[in-house]
Amino acid sequence: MITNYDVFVPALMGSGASLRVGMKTRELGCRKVLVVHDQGLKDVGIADTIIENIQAAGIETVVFGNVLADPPDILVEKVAKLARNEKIDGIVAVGGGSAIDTAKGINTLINNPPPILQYFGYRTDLKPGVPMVFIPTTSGTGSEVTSMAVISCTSRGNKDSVMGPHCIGTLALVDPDLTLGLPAKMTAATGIDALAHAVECMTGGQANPLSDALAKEAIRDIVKWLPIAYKDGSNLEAREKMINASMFAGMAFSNALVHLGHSIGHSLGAIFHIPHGLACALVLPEVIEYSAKSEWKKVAMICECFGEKVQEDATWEEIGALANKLLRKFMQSVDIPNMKELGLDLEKVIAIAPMVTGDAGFAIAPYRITAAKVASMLQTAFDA
Amino acid sequence: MWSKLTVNMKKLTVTKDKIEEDLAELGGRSLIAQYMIKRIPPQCDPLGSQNRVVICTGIFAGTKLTTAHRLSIGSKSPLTGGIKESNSGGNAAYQMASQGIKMIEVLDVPEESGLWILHIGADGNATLKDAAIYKGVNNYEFAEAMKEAYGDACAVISIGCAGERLYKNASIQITEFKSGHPSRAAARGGIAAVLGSKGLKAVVIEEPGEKFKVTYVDEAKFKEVCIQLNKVIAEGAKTDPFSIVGTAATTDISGASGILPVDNFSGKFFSDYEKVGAQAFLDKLKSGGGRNKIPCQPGCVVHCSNCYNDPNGNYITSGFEYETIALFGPNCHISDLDAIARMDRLCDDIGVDTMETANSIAVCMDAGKIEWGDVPAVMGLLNELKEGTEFGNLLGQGCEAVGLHLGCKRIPVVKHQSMAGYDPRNTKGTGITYATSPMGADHTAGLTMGRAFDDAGRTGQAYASNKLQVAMCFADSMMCLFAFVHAVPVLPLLGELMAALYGGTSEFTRVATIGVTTLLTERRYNQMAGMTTKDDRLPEFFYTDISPATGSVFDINDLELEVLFDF
Repeated sequence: MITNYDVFVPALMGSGASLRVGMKTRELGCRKVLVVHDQGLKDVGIADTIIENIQAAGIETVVFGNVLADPPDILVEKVAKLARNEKIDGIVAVGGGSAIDTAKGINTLINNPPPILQYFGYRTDLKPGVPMVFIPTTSGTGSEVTSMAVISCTSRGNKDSVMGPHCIGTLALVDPDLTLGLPAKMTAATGIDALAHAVECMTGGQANPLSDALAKEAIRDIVKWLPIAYKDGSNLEAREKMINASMFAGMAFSNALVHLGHSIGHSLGAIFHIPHGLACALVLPEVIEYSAKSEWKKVAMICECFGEKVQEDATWEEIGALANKLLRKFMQSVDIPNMKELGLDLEKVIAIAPMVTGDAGFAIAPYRITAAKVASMLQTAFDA
Repeated sequence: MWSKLTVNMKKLTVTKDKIEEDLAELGGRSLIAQYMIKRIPPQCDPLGSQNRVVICTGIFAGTKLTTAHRLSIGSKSPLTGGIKESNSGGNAAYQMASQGIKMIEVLDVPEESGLWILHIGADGNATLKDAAIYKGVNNYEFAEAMKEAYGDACAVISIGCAGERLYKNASIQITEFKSGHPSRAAARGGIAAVLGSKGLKAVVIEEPGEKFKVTYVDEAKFKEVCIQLNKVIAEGAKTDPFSIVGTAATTDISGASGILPVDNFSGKFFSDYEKVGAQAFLDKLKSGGGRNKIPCQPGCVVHCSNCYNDPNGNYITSGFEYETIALFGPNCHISDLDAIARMDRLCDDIGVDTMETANSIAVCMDAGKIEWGDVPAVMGLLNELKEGTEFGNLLGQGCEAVGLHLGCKRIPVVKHQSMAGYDPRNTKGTGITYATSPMGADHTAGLTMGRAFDDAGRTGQAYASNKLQVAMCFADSMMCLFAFVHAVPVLPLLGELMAALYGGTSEFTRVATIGVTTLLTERRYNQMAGMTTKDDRLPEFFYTDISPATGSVFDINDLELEVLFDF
């Protein structure tokens, strides 16, 4: 089988890397950049440090500091208009996936007319945007190294992805220092998102040897270091391992893509407004178990990354069940709630099944399943 | 209220009735599926008395929706042994609709050998006329004779000597709008042989004195949506290579990607593919005084058809399409467009499927019977087919029969029907469609080129094939696929049209359900006809022989194919 790996974003990694934003942005030729962040980063002072660093390098800044979670298309379109009017020549996004995806959405519209919903899907024919520098502050969506942006479509009430060269960062600055203050709950939720990326992309249809290698390393590090980062956010080593793992998982899934777990996550997120990482984790164990039918070798590797060796003669059902157990236990160890604990209504949850099968990620699923089977997975995961 | 004509070839009677309720809101492929599951025993002998032929129009026949007048013909196929829906453009569906006829069903077989024409006159009278004098008369001469007898505007659905001889590769030819050339074809699956077994040479439909008026639940709403949809389709067609050039434009893409079949599906590149590409095609049209941008049915805004002349300006053929060019061309190692055009003409004239026939020829080359690229030798074999020599009769049985007889190791068929102009290793979704479509190795049932990340890769292919197979089922019930692709951005309008025509919900799920129901009904029919999982696989060589152009094999696993129709 011939597979490919071709999305690659240059990255600087390590404590203090984010302080090179000014220098590097200037090197990229930018003189007036849009800085995108959310209110939370302003409150903790990170946004100001980045903005001042850029200005000190002699670059003018236009700031948009009101990024919303699950970036809505109408907001992206509004800020893109501002960016065009201001004639910015670069974008710096600092924050979680929402800030980075907002920046990617804006970049899509810099030289292509709105609305953004017409560009959902994988497009290679759009006019290019401007250089983008991404500084993640969660660990995380991995969006700083991926080629996609998830945007909420206000008119349709769902989330969809824009994908292609217009969504690929020019440079990623991966600095664990910025995550030292990440609250425990967010640490757990974003850490599980990274885990979901890693296990899903190993079992999806586009997996390749390089993405598998990155994913396995990510899983091992998340298994070991997330519980530590969760309990002691000031542990720099744990933060460093986590932000790197998040990046590895992002690199892996940007090429190998994710599937059913994220399709469910998108639908749950759209209907119940659950944060992305959490939403993708809720049915992840069941999704990996279902994958084992055709991807038992990969699921066995996942179990090994958790430190559990699989028997030589294990059936796919056994391997799947083991993976399910390991994932569920791990999530419970960082206090990830299940749907019942989140207070969701079971009937409303099961009703999203048809929406799940309409998500683009469904195309990558290892083998086709019906909405009815998705519904039964949701039911099993509900109070697991 | 639409009517149906029941033609009983044993009693030699024609009766006119209202269309049955269970078929009243269906058309084309969807109508044929529901008709056949209830009325044609799946285990019957395709050339026997229990098989029937159903000729019908689409859901929006009689309306102003562009390309609403496709003709669908259904039967149990003598080639595949399963359900077959074969559709075509041309002017017949339009005249049928003008006559107020939704469906013609042809039952039973004659007690004594004979040949008849079903004639539907300007006064609406439908009778069986003796056609003994037309025995062995091929389609071009026959269409001319019908024009002379019944006027230039008449539509002719006919079989040539191939159908009369019950060849499995026989096609039904339909006259093109305006030109009257019998160059549109309901070609795949040998339904022409079923007509031959019933002694029905042709259906000739005159333009009626008074045009049938469709009854709408909300005519004003239908008009409004129809105008909108036609506009969207026309806009899309402006930049569509099929409209600007014709289906011949496909060669440029398939030739560069290893999708174009070469030397009996060897998977190699054909370095001269541009000699049979879009520019060469346009140059030939220009130098011969031919034309493209011809609509094959009234009201079509895509107008992908053409009229092809030789370098001296003499007419050779029309409706000269990619499938014919690819399969008689590079797949036989031929790059001479004029020669391929002559092959197209001969096939249309005697009434055989150019695809099945071209594949049979390629298999002859692969088995060493004739040389690769030997045009005179090909014409020789086609003349044997025309004359009905012993080898000609074998050619008439289709690619698989020829391949088995000659001991060819590579026979590109699924459900005994040979493949279209796309190598399944390099467009794997299309390969999945070939394998799993109830129609056999059929590309119109779900061509996935350009719809997965990598045509020669595995990812997303099963998903694409599934989605397209469903879409093609409802598209083939309502309009031409080439117009349908431009309607995709506004699909919900189709639901609105249905509601305005028949009442009921305007939700798009209504349309999607037609697609799923049709597909599952066809599958059920085939299961009852005796098909099993092994019929849903490609020939082994596609799994093992690497395509030199891309390094790919058909590596879709059985599990993916098994669950393809889980809804």
